[in-house]
Amino acid sequence: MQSSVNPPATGLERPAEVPDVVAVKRHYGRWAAVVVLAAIALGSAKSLAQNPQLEWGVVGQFLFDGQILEGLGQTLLLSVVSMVVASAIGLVFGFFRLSANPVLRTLGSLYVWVFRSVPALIQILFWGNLALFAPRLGIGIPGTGWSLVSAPTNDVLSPFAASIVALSIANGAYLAEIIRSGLLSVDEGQHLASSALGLTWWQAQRKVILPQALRVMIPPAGNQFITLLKETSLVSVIAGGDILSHAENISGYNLRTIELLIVAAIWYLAVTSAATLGQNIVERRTSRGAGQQKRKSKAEAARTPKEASL
Amino acid sequence: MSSVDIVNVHKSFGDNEILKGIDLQVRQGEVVCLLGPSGSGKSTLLRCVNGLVMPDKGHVSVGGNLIGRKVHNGKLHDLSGKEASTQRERIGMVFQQFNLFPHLDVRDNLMLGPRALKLGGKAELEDKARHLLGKVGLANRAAAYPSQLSGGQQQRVAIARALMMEPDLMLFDEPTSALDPELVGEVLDTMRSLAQDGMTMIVVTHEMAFARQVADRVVFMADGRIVEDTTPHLFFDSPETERARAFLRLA
Ligand SMILES: Nc1ncnc2c1ncn2[C@@H]1O[C@H](COP(=O)(O)OP(=O)(O)O)[C@@H](O)[C@H]1O
Ligand SMILES: [Mg+2]
Repeated sequence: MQSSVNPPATGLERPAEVPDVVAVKRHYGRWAAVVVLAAIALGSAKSLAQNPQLEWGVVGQFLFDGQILEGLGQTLLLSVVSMVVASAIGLVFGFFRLSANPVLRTLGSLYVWVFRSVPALIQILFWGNLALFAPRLGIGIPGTGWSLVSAPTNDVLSPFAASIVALSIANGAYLAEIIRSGLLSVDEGQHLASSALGLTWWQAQRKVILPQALRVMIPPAGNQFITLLKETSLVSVIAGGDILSHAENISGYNLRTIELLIVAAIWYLAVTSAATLGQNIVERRTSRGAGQQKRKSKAEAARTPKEASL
Repeated sequence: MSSVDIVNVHKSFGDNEILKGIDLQVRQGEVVCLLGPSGSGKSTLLRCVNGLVMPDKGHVSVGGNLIGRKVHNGKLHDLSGKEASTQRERIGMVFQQFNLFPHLDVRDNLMLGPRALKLGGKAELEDKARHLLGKVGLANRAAAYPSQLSGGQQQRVAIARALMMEPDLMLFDEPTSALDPELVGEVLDTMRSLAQDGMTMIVVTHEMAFARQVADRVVFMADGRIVEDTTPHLFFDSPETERARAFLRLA
């Protein structure tokens, strides 16, 4: 067979005999690494499991404890509400940053700059301790002493409300950037075509620009949500009522600090994994938006011969 | 009464003066081809006609209505965004890059404008879309997405999309420049039939044969000025200026 394909090798040096079989690669290094890692994992698991200081029974006892589950609910509520509010804030400031109006543009940049630069923990402490420097909150005209409504800050801004405010504003800055780059990814011609059709600015955004920008925005916005889910744990510093606040509450009297941290960690692991899974599904669905066109064309291609024969 | 009246239009971008005093009238039903070298300001002028670009000086009126501005106390003031949008409804525009909406199928590309502006009921507009797609020879592609169409088909969809708004005036900005040569003809045919139906058209193009056959007038621009404004016959057979002769030699 070889001779039928290759011209006869006259005067050409070749090895005497070449086998056909290619040897299977053996990844000795990988196997060695697995053995080492397994040993480390086993050792850690053993020391965790057998550590007399660590009572796994306590972890199991509190995993589905009423207070913990309530805290879990608050964590989820805090994440979802903050994400929704942050998206609304981000939409407004994302548009500000792209505005032709220099005042709005500057306002947008300032907002993003300040709230992305100051650590979320400080922002949470600030809102949680607002009463220290503004004992009353209200609506009125500054300097005149006249006020329409006013109430003690601590009545209006519970630790939970302060947590929502802090997380929404801090994450709004990140979402403003995500939304801005999503809007920028849409071709200039789409704006021209929308305007030429007689759409107003907002109609063009809603029906033409945002639907296209969304595809670009979804992956980073999903990551931001997962970050936010974990970031909610910071509100435990103002007793924001999240799962970690409750875990700390409990360990405050039973002194099982590590066990309760493990309880919280298990829930974060579960919730974050679920969110990651959700993000993957949403991403697949939106990228199918582009794929949908392909599927449709296949359906059409399949139909065309029939139509032609009619 | 002329349908389009461009009076002393000046436009600069930064320090670059792109339009240096343009005067041009287009009558109802007239087809005017706008020719000129790249960078001479043709697109900018076309965008002044529907208010996508606002002149720094001078004005444009279409059907007697000042575009994008109103007179108040002896000065021109910008219209609100909503008022300016309403003016554009009846001025169709077709772009070199088609600019179809990629997230919508052909039918929804046609329906989006009239639906947003509530120009008719759904069934009525669907009928109209079907009719116009038939007219541009794409009756069977209503469910396709722009990415599935050839350039020529996309541009014909773009023309149908503009016609959905029942425009009194159509602006074309190099509608065939992005097309493979074998697809140019189908788009020009569509435009020719539109011209025969009596549509007022301003067409920026490099298709000299089209300009010669279809245009009532040829306007030649260079460096932000109108250099010649004449009949196709005179422009192509005996251009008056050296600039036009040089341009035609290269074309
Ligand atoms: N929005 C804009 N900002 C800055 N410069 C522009 C803008 N639009 C057009 N120009 C400039 O104006 C000049 C003329 O452009 P254009 O009207 O597109 O010419 P043409 O269509 O005849 O090729 C070009 O040099 C272009 O770079
Ligand atoms: Mg141009």
